[in-house]
Amino acid sequence: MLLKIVNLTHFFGGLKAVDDFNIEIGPRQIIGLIGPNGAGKTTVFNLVTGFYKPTMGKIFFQDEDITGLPPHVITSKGIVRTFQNIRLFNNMTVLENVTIARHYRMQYGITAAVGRFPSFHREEHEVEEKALEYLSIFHLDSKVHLPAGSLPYGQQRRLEIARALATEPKLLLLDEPAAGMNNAEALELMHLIKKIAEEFRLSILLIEHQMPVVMGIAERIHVLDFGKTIAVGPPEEIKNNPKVIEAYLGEGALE
Amino acid sequence: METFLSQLIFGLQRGTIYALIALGYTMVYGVVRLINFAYGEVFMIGAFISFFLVNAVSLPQPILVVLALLVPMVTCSLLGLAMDALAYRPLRQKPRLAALITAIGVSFFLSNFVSYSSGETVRSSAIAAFLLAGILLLYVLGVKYLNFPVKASPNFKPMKFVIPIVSLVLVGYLFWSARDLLVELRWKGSSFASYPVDRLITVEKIPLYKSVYITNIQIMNFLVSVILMVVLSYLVNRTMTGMAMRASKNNKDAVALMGVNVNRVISITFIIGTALAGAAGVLSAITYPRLTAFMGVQPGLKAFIAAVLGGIGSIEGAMLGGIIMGVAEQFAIGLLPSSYGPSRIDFTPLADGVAYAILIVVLLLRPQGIFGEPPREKL
Amino acid sequence: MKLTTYTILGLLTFYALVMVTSAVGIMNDYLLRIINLMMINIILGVSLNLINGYTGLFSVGHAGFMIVGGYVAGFMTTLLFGITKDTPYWEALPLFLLAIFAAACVSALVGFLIGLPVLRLTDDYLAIVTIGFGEIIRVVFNFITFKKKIGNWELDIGGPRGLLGIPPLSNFTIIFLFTLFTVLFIRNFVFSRHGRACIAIRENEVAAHMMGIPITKYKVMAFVLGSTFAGIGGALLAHFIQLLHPTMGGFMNSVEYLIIVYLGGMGSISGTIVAAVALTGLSEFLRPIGELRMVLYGILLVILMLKRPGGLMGQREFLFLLPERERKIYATQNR
Ligand SMILES: Nc1ncnc2c1ncn2[C@@H]1O[C@H](COP(=O)(O)OP(=O)(O)O)[C@@H](O)[C@H]1O
Ligand SMILES: [Mg+2]
Repeated sequence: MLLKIVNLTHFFGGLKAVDDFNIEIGPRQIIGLIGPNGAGKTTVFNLVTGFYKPTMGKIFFQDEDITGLPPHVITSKGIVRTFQNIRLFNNMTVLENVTIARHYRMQYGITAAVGRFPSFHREEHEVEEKALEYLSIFHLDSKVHLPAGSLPYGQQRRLEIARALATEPKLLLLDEPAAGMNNAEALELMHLIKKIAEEFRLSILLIEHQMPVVMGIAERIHVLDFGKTIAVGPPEEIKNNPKVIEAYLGEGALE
Repeated sequence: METFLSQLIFGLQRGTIYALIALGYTMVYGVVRLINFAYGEVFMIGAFISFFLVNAVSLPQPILVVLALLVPMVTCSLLGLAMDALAYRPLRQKPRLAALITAIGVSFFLSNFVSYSSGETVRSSAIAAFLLAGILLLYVLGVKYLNFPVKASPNFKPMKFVIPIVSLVLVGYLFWSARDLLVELRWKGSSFASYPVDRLITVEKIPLYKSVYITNIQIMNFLVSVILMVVLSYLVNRTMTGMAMRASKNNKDAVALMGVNVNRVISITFIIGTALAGAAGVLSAITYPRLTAFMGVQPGLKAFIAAVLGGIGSIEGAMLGGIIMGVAEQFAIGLLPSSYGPSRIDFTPLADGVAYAILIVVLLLRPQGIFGEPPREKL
Repeated sequence: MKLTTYTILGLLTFYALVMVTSAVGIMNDYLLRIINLMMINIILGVSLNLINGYTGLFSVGHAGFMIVGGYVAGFMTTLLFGITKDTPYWEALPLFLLAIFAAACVSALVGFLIGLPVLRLTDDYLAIVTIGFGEIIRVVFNFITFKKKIGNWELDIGGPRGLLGIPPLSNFTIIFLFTLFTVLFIRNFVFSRHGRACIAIRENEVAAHMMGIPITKYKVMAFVLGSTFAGIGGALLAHFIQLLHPTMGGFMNSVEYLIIVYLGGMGSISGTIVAAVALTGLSEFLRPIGELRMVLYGILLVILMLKRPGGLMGQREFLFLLPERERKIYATQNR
């Protein structure tokens, strides 16, 4: 098992944002996490990646208990995420955004940096090559030296995924990667996600607000509503589950 | 026991002054997350305005006391409004750092301005204020009736300019009248001025218990602080504006959606905070009658620490934090060995450091303060 | 010829020019004094920029660290080593360098002790704690007035009177070399994976954390490095103006360094250098108007934030100050 979450519960003051959440993700699986706005999906991500400490429950990654570890340690273990509201380093270049992701894999210390030792030049050269590889997968190679904040919205979304991939994770958490895109763009992105999952042998946990988008690529879907898991199963089953339809009623996200 | 009691009385007096300033910090921080470093300077300006007033007019003591307190409070709240409108409001959408730097700039400007000022500079400032008011007036009239220098746009509202113009004229008038007084007092801000306490109140000691006594100044000090805090609690807990204020603390956008004018709420917060700081300045001037341009720096910092101690953003916290700070400092002064003691080394200057020691302890043990909630960022 | 060669030639020419003109007597002492002060302010400004500009922290206590360095070095040369004006320079120099090193170490240690607990909290706390720190320094240095004989020397750093009679060991060459060292050090740091980590924290702390950057470690690192160089600057300043006073570590002085950083541009070494030179020159020029200078500084800070929050240079750099790789990149883009 790659990721195993047991009885995860989280309170914000009196609000139970996540209520007894359980999931198991094996290697090279794409799993969907859906639910209406405010259901607690992003909070699950924040708990897994260490931004919040859970009120109750345990999180295991490759059989190791990672509950309560700080985010940068969790990244180094092989879990990385993107954010619902894009969080790029806007004033840094596109290339620098991706090299940051390689930071924890680089070795040279402060002395080597200040003295410009050979190890500095070698590693900086390597990281640049590597970063360019990731950028070319997402067709961003013509933009490498532009400030990330100057890219159009769709490219910013892609850059965020490229940056996450550059940490070489085993599990990638994507928080509404298609938000703000039209249907065609969203489907194209889903194809890309499927392709990189295969190419990099990744598991992916994908939050998506619009159901049709996940239907195509997820092999299993978990549905949250008010923090509770109301359904788990393959897409076909979820689509016809009356509880899910009720939760989404008035949200207009099912058509 | 006796020394303990009298130290406690002095400590409480010190503490109420810190608490009044701390309230300003905490309220503004609660609503806009801005540390307005300039409260110490507002405190100082409150003291000076009261100083000018008491020197300038001769009235019966009771009336003078009320005026000496109210006039600085009103002037300081105008100053608070002006600070918000000129320096902070334009930065509300910018990174918080920018507002913080601006706050330091404002505080630096105010203290150094007073330090620099003498009769002559005050007169120049008065003239500048009149000139500015005149220019504004001409501009408004020009745009309205002559379409000069720019054409009036359909949503041009001349009424918006009334308050700035009137306040400029008032400030100019105040400076102008202060000028003659300053020349008479041969005043130069960088030295110090003595607050004429005896014109306000004749000091009397009222015995309490054995050698413990309380002065009528201290009684007045407590009364004024308690009244101000009660009024404040009423404002915050019982009025619509107060409710909006408390709601803004949690979610400004939601409050704005409900049709509340958030900018107005912020302005009112500034008015209240600066008025309290002004009152604290007057109370402090009556108790410690030595006024300097930099007299606000230390109380300002310490009051801020008091607010952090109580839990920044919390009104009860600011009151409690201020009192704790004042009492702790007073006891330090009382208990540290002085040069008359056996050690022959004077440790009392270290009492000034008590506040900072408290700060360090708070940050290590409970950074959110007594009543504060732990900070969390919404991802 | 490459730009790097020109830069080196330019620096050598500047050094030679100052040395020759002052040896011949064309350069007067007053001008040389201003040049030295400019360079010391460059050290203090660039090091503060690492903390406030590149890493996005908000230290308001830079003068505090400066004066800690100053007192440590001044105490060592004056009281510990007993160096006076008449000590031969070559005898005093190694001891002076040792004192500067000690000053750097103590400032670093103090920076670490303050930074570690405080930088785990939200950014506002660093501001208030560093202000508080300046005040504690003032209280402490004001307090140490008593004379105490230990062996054959006296512990007396002057109390409220200040530490007087510090030997004039900072000359143009020393200050020039240390300025060069500081600028080169911080430039190379900033343009490396470590500097990138700091900038990423400034740009988006949450994302930086997620990308595997230990943010507390880097915040503390930037704060400690900046404070260390402030200590070096303080040691040089003390042996240049030959006195130290407890109030020099206070809030007012720190604001001057803040202005240098924000006028020049947060995250621009070039901007800081320009601003340090300009403001040092300007304040000499404005000396006749005395305290009004401070009033103007306050207004300047407010106007700067309102009208030009990026400062003079924003985040741009002069080409000659950049490492070669970044220079090529800058040439291909128009930032
Ligand atoms: N930092 C926070 N503090 C308080 N409440 C929060 C916080 N983050 C999220 N919430 C609340 O928790 C619930 C779940 O939020 P979230 O996980 O963002 O939902 P989703 O991503 O499914 O739309 C919501 O009611 C939200 O208001
Ligand atoms: Mg969400």
